[in-house]
Amino acid sequence: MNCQEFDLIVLDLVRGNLKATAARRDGMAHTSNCRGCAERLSQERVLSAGLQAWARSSGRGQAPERLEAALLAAFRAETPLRAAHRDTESHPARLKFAAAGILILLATTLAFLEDGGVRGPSPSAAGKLSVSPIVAAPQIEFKSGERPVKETPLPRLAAQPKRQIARRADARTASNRVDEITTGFIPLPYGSSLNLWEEGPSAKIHLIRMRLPRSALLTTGLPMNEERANEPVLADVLFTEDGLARGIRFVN
Amino acid sequence: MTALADASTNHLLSRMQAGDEAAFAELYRRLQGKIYCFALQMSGSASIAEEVTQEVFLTLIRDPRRYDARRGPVSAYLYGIARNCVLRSLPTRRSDTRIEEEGCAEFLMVQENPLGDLTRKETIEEVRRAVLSLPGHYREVVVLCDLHEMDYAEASNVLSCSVGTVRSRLHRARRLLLVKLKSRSADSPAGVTLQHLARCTR
Repeated sequence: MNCQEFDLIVLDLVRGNLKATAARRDGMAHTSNCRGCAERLSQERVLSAGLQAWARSSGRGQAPERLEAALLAAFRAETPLRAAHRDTESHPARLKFAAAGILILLATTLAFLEDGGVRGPSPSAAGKLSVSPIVAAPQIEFKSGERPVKETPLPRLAAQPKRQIARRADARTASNRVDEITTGFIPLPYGSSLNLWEEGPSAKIHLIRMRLPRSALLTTGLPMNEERANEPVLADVLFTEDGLARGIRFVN
Repeated sequence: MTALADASTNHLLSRMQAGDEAAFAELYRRLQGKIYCFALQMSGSASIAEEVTQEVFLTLIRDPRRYDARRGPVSAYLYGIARNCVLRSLPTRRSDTRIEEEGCAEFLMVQENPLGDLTRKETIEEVRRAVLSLPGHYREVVVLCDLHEMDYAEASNVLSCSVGTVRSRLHRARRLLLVKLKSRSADSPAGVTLQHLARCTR
């Protein structure tokens, strides 16, 4: 074995990967004849020992306990939503039914607009930031574990200006194309008792996107990056007609 | 609870997917130390390590189905996420890559022989600084193979590269480390030399 060949196996010698092999025997024989390689082997061993000492001293490193609590809270918030998704996925017929309903509704709206049935949004509605439930169709995941998707109440279209709805639908479709990552909806404390699906067709919800202080994450039990505490977070807040915020989801 | 403690990580993950919070808690407790240490050793910063650990487990919570058992154990999957998170956080923080004393000092605890321990602390600190000054792709192989005692195959799984690449990077990284430690021993006021290191780590 020459020095080049020794260089190829020195790491395996140190790491103990060459136990009782011819390569090990040859390597050790080489070190007895070559001072340079013997020195090299010795330095590698010292380095390994130094690294192991560091590994031992840092081996009892644990993440702070608060992290576990925050992650468990996040798990709790996420689990019902995943279950809801599973429920939806396991009933493709329901999904098809809902999609067909949406298509029929859109077609009807378009036909109505072409007939000139709408002259424009009413001044009172123009200032509203609300999004009708059908436009916000993906939000059926909210509490959908309790009711099947096909039972989603249809929105009260008559009360909404049609052109505005069409515009919102377009905007919504466009925004869906953008890569947005959202958490699931997290019920807010006083919203937990409200079951929107039990309210039937009279349920009217408004979804408003807003910037909130990052500390809002903590109030919902999610972990917050303290280093970015000054940066606001984007959130969709779900309001009911009584003006109370019932749920929130965070958008990335 | 005993059943959970004995369960494999894969079993815990599947129970977690079914919404079992206790399974998630057990999985977290089992793996968080490794992930946190890996991030701490890679970044030298307790705050980054905490952030990375949080991100790793949040990813697992949000999308546990991304894990593919055919590609390796759960721990390797989590190491892989942690590695990506650490590498993402490093370039933006290059300016403050000052190595934090907090979070690390607690690991360098003084034991029976104060003088010996002081020397040992200095020695470990020198090694730590040398590792942290390595480029990321060399640092990660040293941390995985030498500190977390992974074999080349396990490390290649985490790093998504070939065993040969891991091997050659480790070889090169250790060469660099030796050069750094030798040069530091000349400059270091503590006078830490490789011979010193040899005595202290025995």
